[in-house]
Amino acid sequence: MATGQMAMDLGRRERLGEQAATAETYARLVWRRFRRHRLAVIGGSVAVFLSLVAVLAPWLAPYRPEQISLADRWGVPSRTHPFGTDELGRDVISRAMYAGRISLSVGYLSALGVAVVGTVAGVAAGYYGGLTDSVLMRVVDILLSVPTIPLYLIMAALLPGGGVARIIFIFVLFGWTGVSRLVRSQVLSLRQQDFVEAARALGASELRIMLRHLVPNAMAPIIVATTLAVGGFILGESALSYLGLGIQPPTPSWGNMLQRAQEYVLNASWLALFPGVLIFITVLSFNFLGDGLRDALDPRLNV
Amino acid sequence: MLRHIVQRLLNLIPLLFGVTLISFIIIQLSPGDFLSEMRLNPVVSSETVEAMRRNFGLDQPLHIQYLKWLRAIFLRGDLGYSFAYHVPVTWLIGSRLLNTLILNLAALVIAWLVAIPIGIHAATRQYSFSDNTLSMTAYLGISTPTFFSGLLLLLFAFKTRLLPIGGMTSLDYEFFPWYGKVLDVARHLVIPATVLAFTASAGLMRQMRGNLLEVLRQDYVRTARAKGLAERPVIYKHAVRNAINPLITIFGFEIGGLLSGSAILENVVGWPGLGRLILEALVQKDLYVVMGSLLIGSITLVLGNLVADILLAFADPRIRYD
Repeated sequence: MATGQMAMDLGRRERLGEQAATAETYARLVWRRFRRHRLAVIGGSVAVFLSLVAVLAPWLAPYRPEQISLADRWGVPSRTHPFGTDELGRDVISRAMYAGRISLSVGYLSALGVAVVGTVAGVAAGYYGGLTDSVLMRVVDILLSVPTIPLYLIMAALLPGGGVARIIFIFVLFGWTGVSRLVRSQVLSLRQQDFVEAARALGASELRIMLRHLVPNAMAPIIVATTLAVGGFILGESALSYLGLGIQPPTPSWGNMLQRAQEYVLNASWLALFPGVLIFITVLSFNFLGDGLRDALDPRLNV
Repeated sequence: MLRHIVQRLLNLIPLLFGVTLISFIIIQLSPGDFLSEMRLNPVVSSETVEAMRRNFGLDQPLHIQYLKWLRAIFLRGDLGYSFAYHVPVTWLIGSRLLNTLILNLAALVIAWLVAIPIGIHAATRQYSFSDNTLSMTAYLGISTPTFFSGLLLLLFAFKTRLLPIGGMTSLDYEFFPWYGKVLDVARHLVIPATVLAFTASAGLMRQMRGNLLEVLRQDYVRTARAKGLAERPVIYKHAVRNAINPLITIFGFEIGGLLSGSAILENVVGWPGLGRLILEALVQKDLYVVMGSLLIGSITLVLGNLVADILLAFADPRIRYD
């Protein structure tokens, strides 16, 4: 444990040295290392592509997602309907595009929320120490002692409504603990270092020290954890929606498309295949991207 | 060491106390209770509903309800009464506990038996064709939602008629001799255990591979090679034994997750375990069942972490707690 910590400190010091020389060099170094990671580049490209499709869905989708056409029910994938049509004759690819908006939004916003809350809590605990630290870390301990999946099931079943905000709220409320521990341990070792002492001696305010010196230097693990969290939350949302506790129809999400499809999976397996594969590809891309970012930003990170 | 264990056990008390408080608050946040639906039922008179309310103690203020619930747990290990099933919660949970344990233990054993050799194989042949294939498969494993792979396997089972689709026992289970019963459960176990083991072994294999690669770069491995030791003892006696330590922590997590890791999959394949019980209880607003399940899951989780710490201290002489 101790040697690992020391090695991390060395790694960080080395990095800080690079950063002090020119900011350009570190960014370029990261980019060079990232580019070498072929799967990460592929994962990043796929993630960007899927996000663009989701954003541009209103212009790209060939049909309205809620447009029912009973004459075209159960259409197998064809040229007019590349992903086929569902039990109400709705175009599956259009629905999948709009569902992507929901599923990706949940992933991005939950991960962002977790990063912000986790960073604030982690910096506060690490910087102030004492009572603040004890209280925050006991809360983290307690939250981490409750099994996640049952907890999400229970929260999703008990909170009324079927919207996006509700799911994000649940994910952020219980998801920030991991990031806060990461940030706290970074801050604990950073605040001992000379440059923080120097900033304090120069009369920098506490807020300035935190925002200008501590957070930027703890950024690498935050970025990696947040990237991996996007995939994790997309998986979480789809699991909840699949069980009927997440995003409620008629709003399409990949999870609830899969839930509807499972009833018809024996006769119309394409209905389950496309949303399932989309969830899988998205999560896989973010896992590639996160791993690549870890190797590029700091190979010794243990996120 | 013993002091450390006792200290950790004592630390668990306030922790679990916090867990009971959180689960109670969460569940009280939800609108309506088990009786609200009964109130809408014209056949049930309002006097009956009131009597039941008093009976269950739902008419008392929240903090009294909480303290009563807590006191019963401490004094009698009594988790309360199920509104919907009319049996004690401990009995209900006990009846499902074994099923969840069977599923998760099977998955755990498969995952470790598969992942450790594969991880060693991949690390000792880094960037070879087989390493790339296995590492890629592991990525697929950690990215596939269990409900999707479960659904696909159920579809496969239906098309080929090789395996039963969902559930834990066949309809005529009761008429089988004992070995027939074992075989029947085993057949039902194949799909869910495979799905869980695939995900678990993917993570485990990545960890094993990463650890071993790290250890293989250490000086003492170079020393072992330099003194002319054959490659096999270098790998298995020097490297693997050190690379396995971080996995002990994971093992503890997995022990902790034995009751909760399969919650979603159980609902997909209809495995009658704790995960299904929680969902059923949620739908019926069967409060004490939900709280009890969450509490049992939490206790398992913190005990698993404790077990991991203790095992790690035994396995790695470099760790000292005093």
